[in-house]
Amino acid sequence: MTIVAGSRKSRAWPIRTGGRAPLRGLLPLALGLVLWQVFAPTDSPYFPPPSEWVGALERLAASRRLWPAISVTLTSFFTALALNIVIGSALGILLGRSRLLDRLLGPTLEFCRTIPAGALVPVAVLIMGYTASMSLVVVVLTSFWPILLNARAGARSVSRDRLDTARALQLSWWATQRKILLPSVVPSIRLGTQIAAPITLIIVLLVEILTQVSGVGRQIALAQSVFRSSTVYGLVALTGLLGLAVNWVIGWMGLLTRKYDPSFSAGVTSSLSMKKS
Amino acid sequence: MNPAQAATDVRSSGPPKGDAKVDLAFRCRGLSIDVGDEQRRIIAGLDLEVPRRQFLCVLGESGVGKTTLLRVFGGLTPAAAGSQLELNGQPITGLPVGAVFVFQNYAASLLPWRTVRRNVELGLEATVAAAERRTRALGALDLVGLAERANDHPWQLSGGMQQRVQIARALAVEPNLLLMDEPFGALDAMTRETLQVELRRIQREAGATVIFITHDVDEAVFLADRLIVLKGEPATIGLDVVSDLPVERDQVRTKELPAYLKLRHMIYDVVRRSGNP
Amino acid sequence: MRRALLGRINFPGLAVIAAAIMLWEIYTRTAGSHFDSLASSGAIFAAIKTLFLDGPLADQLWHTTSIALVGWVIASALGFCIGLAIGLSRTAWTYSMASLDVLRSIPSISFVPVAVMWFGFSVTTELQIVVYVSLWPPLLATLHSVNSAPAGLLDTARVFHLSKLSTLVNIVLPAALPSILVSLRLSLALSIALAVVAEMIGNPEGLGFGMVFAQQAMQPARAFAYLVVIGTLGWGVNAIFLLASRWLTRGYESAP
Repeated sequence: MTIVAGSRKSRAWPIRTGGRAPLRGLLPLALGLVLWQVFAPTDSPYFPPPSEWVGALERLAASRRLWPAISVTLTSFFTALALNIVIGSALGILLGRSRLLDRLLGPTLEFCRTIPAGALVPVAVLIMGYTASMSLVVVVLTSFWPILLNARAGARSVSRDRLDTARALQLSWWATQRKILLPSVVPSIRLGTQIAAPITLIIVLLVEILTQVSGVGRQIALAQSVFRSSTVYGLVALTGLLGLAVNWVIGWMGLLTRKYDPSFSAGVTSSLSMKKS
Repeated sequence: MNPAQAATDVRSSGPPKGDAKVDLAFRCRGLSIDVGDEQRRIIAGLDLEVPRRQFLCVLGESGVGKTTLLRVFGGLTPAAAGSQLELNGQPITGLPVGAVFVFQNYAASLLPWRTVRRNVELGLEATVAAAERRTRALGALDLVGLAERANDHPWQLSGGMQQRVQIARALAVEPNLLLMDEPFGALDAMTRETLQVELRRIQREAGATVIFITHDVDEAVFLADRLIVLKGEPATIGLDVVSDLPVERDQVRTKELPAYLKLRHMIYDVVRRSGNP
Repeated sequence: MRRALLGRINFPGLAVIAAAIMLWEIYTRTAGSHFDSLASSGAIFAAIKTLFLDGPLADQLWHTTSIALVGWVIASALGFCIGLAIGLSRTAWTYSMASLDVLRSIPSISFVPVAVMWFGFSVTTELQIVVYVSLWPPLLATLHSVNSAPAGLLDTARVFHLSKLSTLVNIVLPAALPSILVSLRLSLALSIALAVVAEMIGNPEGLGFGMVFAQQAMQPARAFAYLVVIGTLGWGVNAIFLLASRWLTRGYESAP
């Protein structure tokens, strides 16, 4: 007559995918690589098996071309990223705090932002030649935008209350910037950096591939031009590892700035008040 | 009788006795609810019978389990084993047809990309043809007094109006049971008072059965034909009383009636006896 | 209507652009005149005109734009379908998400030499590159936003007994639309950028090739001309798409 209403029919749909993807998800990739390894002939020109890639990389390392290339790429990356953070934050905060400047420079920046990195390279080469500074200029000009945009948004939304507090305490302009404004914008800068980091790496590699000056990109382009496919695949996989490593480092560095997060301090406050009752 | 109930002083008149054939919109027996990973029992052995057309208010302090109880009534959350729930004499499994939920957070449950009228039509789209849908939607909007805003979007309306749209949406499907979870909680006091009067009128005109959750004693006393107070851990019915206030109610005069004050006093006595300040 | 439109144009900002162009003209004619590698604003515009009227610019513009757009459409459709499939099925997600995460951390540019190796110097290479790179933003955005439909809306769907299909069409997808549109705008920019890069390396046609050609021929005015054209193309396409997506989400509370 009456029925137990304890069924699990109330299943949530669509699925909620919180948290990390399960490692089982690596199955397709692993399977693909295994099949490739098993079925590709060792001397296949287009599709050499993964074991060949490793061999190719080892040969590259032995001829002392691999590690210097990696070192060049990583140096370019971190230099560019550091510049990105400094320039992007400074400009972003400036634009965020000054409506006038934002309005004046808006269209110009909007246009510059959409210029593809590849298109800048030939012009940069004409002006600056095949140098490291040329590479740096191109990378920075095309990859600092996420930091700028996020810093601008963060600077715009600093709460009035905080700024009024600074005025009430009669802080100097510099002290206000340092103690109130900058810490408030740090979470936005961090978000922008996390977005910009992979882009920066991509453009570093792009410039290296296009100009073939040095670095991992150059090695890939070289290998491709002489049709050494296993070297190409090996280096591509290597860039994947670089990408993962970069993301991991940036993420870890981001954790260091956690104390500036609004949610972090909210958590502290609520745990304090809970202790009281 | 439930020992927990005996411990609290149940001054009640309960549902009308002597008429065994009272038409029941809703009924539950031995309803228990467990929540959380530890499956903590928050409601234990609840028995409730709600006659048709009754406006039932369920009161209780924050955290006692009112919202969860309502969600169980509406099939959104499963009850513990051994619970029996019936709607219109039919056992409830999963989501009962004929019961509609009205949420406190109206902004989160109205579809922002649809007009008001199309929002109200939402529940009818599966079962009713377009022309009749339109008529019923406009009828429901007329009932809540928003017919001329039918082509606006929800975000163009005030909070009180958006909540009325949600109520219209619920009424459009002509439900047997309207489950309202502190629907006026997010509104300012004046809007709330207006909507309370409106809701009583709407309920009478539509002939709806309402189970209304609130922690606001005045709201409950003003609105209810019958009041229930949930108390204890796990919660049970601490008070079940039929209101002797007149059918026509007014925000000023009704609140001056001795009957109103007496009812209010009764409730506060029960609520206060929990030992919490 | 006209006044509202006029009021929205940022005249001071445009004035700054005009001023920048004039300042550049002045600089290149005076202090910077000894730099062979710079070209004045006037020279750049003249080069654009020449290339367009007498030269290959029109064809090249058409080539780059059409490849980028075709590739973008294919990539968007593919990305949307795959993202939807994985986002809606817990099994599919469990058994593929980690692989996707790994694949997507390979810098997309690394695919360019691979494509050149596979397909040689051809239009196919260019198209493949565009599709592969532009695939990711819509795929990830669809996947993520289909899983992030607001709980209040999903509860509403359950309250009114909407079928799974109806929930998907009426609630999940409209809620996901703003986020998907943003990803499409991003992938559109990527399509143009990668088409240009592919033309520089893998397919000697189009604007990218024109630019490299001018650079290797040491003709700065022409190189700058191509830069301006490519920049304008990217900006113009972005602006059009932005207008379109604002119109599409005109009912929503906050546009992307």
